[in-house]
Amino acid sequence: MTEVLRVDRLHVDARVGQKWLPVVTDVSFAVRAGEIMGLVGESGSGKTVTCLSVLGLLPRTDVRVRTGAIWFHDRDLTAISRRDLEDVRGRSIALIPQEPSASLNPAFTVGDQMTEILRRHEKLGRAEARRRAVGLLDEVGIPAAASRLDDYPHHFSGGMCQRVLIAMALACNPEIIIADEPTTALDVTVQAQILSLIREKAAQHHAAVLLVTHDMGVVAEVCDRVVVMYAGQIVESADIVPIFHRPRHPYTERLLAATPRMVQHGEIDPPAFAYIPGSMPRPGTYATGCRFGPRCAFHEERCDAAQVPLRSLPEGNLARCVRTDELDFAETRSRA
Amino acid sequence: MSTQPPVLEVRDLSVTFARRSLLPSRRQVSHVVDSIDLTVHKGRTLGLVGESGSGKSTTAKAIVRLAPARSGSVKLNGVDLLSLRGEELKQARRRVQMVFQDPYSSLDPTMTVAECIAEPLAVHRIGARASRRDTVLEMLEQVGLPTSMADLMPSQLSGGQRQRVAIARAICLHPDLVLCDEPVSALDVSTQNRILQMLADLRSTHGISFVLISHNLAAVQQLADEVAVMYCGTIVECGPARNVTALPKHPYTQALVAAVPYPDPEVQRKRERVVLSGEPANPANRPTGCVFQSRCPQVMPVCQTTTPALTDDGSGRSVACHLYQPIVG
Repeated sequence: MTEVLRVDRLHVDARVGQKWLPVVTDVSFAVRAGEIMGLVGESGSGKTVTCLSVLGLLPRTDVRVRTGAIWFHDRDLTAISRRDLEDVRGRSIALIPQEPSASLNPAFTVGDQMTEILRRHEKLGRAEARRRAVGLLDEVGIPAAASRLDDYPHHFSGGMCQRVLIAMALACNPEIIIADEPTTALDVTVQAQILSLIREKAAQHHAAVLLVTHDMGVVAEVCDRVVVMYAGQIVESADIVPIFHRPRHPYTERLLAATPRMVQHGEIDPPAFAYIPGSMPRPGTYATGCRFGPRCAFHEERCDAAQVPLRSLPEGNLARCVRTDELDFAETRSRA
Repeated sequence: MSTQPPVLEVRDLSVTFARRSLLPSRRQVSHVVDSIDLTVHKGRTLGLVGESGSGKSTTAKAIVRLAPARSGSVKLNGVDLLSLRGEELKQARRRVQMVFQDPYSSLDPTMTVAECIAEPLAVHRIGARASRRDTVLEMLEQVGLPTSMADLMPSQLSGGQRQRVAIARAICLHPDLVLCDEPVSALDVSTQNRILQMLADLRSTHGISFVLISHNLAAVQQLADEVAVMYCGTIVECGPARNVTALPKHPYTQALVAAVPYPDPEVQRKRERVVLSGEPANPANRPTGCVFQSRCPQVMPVCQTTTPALTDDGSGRSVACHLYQPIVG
């Protein structure tokens, strides 16, 4: 599979008062055409900043890419002009945002907002753009698409707004779709519909998807590969099945244990409340050694000695933990 | 328990919203909550589950009289809240508090944490200023926050910390009942579990009863003793939490259970499950017969003509579905 996006040693700083503090440290990953990659972490992990960097949507006065490159095919998105970036964004790189109802302009009809993209990027005429917009709404499963084009966003439910936004993301046949917590604001029943729609459309359009989420249940449902971030760093990356069956970083393991799930047939008690003590460190307060160290159940003195490198493991995954070879989470997991 | 009245006893509660218009054809009445019954005993937790628009939040608001009930009764320790006015109502409201979904909008951004927690004490004129400060510090400890946070502003706190403040504010009057409307859905997963654990601890130390509202069954199953599933303003299934979540009977409850992804890709992708298509029924335009018929995978002719009654199956579980009752008519 061809690599469409490669983030290479990305460092991003944010301004806090007078100081610039690192919020993303040395992040590298690649996404291939036709695959869905999960970018997982809790608030403050740097996952949203990473994907805003890819989109070139960082608020420039407060957050900036310090070093590193973001390769889209052979173009570095951090180095191209604003004008060139505007041609790429929305056309080749599309966004499915987190809050569907807040992401559409309430003062314009859905048709206006959809045709705007098609006219700007595809240089279509008014009538042709409308025809295409109807086709797109139909494709994402909006009933009676032609009659809905002149409706305003408030006429649509949250799930339907998200379908409209997916249609807008697909409008110019993007090569990369960035989905930022696309189902967090939706009901679980609608979440299942939207996830299967994203999966189906990504396969059909052979697009690469970067799915940002904090929910490992969502990851289990749709992703092919996973990158887990903590305090601005990648702590583990692996293919979908190994990361669930044998996580190699204590943070990944705790995140899995904390994921809500229904009681299974034959189980007597529902799963217990698993959580991570402490809280995500703020930028500028990261530990010198392992950043997860202060919250880790397997913490030892040597974890604090020096920055922990992201190591390749024999199975092909990566983990940032000095103790990864000695740790066996099977026991803690069966207790959890 | 049998001699004491339940902490909360809701009977036949209905809430309707009317759209007024000069044109008679545009006037519309939505039955957002349609004659529901709920019971919560002391120290117990009721999970109220359903999608957006099912009427679960309106039910909670009607219980604390933030939304007007059209008919029915809401008895708190045997006293009907709906019949109270003025000072009596104010006193009764001390016994029931609410925690809202979004801790970013439910705390006043211009008040410190301490002012926020002490506000209910001031409203009800409990304690002197100085002793209120002690109560605030005690409450902070109860919800697992350092007392040094008392003089911070909400903007300096994380989402999980804010929700703890909102809970401290709700419990500082030592209420009998706390209604939590999606208390964890705006939070990260590991924070969600910490908040739920804290609610479980408060329940055992103070004997507070909870109504826990959520669209996600997985979030309520650990804490709830009983579960009531709402759809389009009515309760379609209720009973002991373990039974309802492990062996759901109503097709809607089955779909809610199926919608929670299982955190293992191999299991999840092999599951045979019902993914609900379409949108929830509109309370302004309810169908005759069963409210769930338009999305039900097992719909039968009788569902389009007769509304199924909520019927006890003998084990304390009630289901409103024609699949489980002798067909009438």
